[in-house]
Amino acid sequence: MISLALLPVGLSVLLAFGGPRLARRIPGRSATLLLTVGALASALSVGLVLCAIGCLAMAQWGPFASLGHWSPAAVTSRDPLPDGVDLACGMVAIALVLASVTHFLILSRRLVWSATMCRRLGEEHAGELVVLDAEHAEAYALAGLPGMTVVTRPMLSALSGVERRALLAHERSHVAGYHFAYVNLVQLSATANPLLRPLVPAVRLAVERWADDDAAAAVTDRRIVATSLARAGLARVGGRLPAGALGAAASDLETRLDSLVSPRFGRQQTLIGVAGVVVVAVGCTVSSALLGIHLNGIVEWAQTIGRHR
Amino acid sequence: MARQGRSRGSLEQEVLAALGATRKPMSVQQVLEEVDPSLAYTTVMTTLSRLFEKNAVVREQSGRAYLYSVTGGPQGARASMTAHSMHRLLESGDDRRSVLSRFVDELTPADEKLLRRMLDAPSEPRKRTKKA
Repeated sequence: MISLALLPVGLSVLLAFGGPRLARRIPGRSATLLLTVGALASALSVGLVLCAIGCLAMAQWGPFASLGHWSPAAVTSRDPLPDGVDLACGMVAIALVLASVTHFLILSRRLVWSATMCRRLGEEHAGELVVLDAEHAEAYALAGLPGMTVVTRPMLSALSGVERRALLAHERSHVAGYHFAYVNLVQLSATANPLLRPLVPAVRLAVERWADDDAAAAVTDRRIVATSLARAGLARVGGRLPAGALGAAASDLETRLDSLVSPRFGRQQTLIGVAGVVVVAVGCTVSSALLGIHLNGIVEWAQTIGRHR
Repeated sequence: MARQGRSRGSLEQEVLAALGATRKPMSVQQVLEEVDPSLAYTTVMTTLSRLFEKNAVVREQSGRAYLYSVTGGPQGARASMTAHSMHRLLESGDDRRSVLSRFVDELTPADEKLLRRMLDAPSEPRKRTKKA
C-alpha cells in the first residue's frame, strides 16, 4: 500500500522536474495542454491519497469508528503506516484543501472582476481592443468571456505597421484561446500540490510561446514577431528599471526569441511529452484508485470484525 | 511577403492601432500606408466608416476627404475612465497575474542587451530554420 501512496508523489516530482525542461523544446500549444493535464492529474491524485490516508487515521478514532460500526483496533492492525504518519497526512490534506478552496475563492472574485471589466470595455469600445492613452508602453490581454486586448499608445508608436499586426495577433491568440484558463488550472493544481510549483512559470511561458506561434502565422514571418517582441521590450524598459538578473537558465524572453528565430518542430520531444503525461495521468489515477479501494477494504473488513463483537 | 487572410475584426484592430500610434488625424490613404500598402483603398475606407459608426473613431472634414483619429474628448471620456481606472488597478502591483498576460514581462539587464543586439543585427537566422 505504501507504494500505491508514494507513486503519485513520485510522479509529481518527475513532472515538476521534467515538465518545464521539455516544455521549452516543444511547440507552445502542446506544452500548455500537456502541462495542464499533467498538473491536474497529479494534484487530484496526491490530494486523494492524502485524504484517504487521513481518513484511515480518522477511522482509528473510537467515536468515529462507533458511528460506522467498525473496530478501530482492526483498522490499526491492518494499517501499514505508523500512527503519526497517518495523522500527519491527514493534517497536510486539510491544510492543502483549505489553501485550495481559498485560492479558488480569491481567483473566482478576480475572474468575475476581470470578466465584468471586459464586458464593460467591450460595450464602450467597439470590439475587443482598447487603445489607451497612458504614459508607459504596455500591451496585455485581459481574461474574460470573451477577453480584451489593451495596448497603450506609446507601445503602438514604438512598432511598425506589421509589428503592430504581430502584437495584436499575439494578444488575440490569448483572448480567443482562453489561455488564462490553463494558467489558472495549473496554479490551482500547484496550490493543491506544492510539489508542482515549477509548473506555474512553465505554463506561463508555454502560453506566451503559443501566442507567439499564432502571431507568426498571422504575419507569416517568425522574425517579425521576434523584432516586435524586441521593440516592445525596449519600449517598456524606457520607463522603468529592469528587474534583477535571474540565474543561469535561459530567461523566458530568450527562450521565446530562440523559438521564433530558430524554431525546432520538436516532434520527437512532443511524443516523449505525451508519453510522459500519459504515464503520469494513468499512474496517478490507477494508484490513487487502487489505494482508495484498498483502504475501503480495510474499513469493510474492520466492520465485519466490529459486528462480531 | 505572402498575403494572409485577415478577418474583419483583425483589420479593424490594425486600423485602430495605426491611428493610436500617430498623434495626428490621418486620411484613408495615410491609414492604408501605415497598416498595409497592399490593401485595397475601399477596404480601408469601409473599415474606417464602420469604426466611425461604432464611435471608435472620430473624423473631421479636410477639403474633400475625412481625417480620422482615435476617439478622445467627451465622447470617449466615459469609455476612457473605465479603461484608465482598470489599467491603474492592474499597474498598482496588486497581484492580478491570474487575469493578465503581458506581451513582454519584466526584463533583466541581460534581456535588454539581447534585445538591442537582436535589433542591430542584420536579418540573418542563427541556424537554418526548419519549417514546421
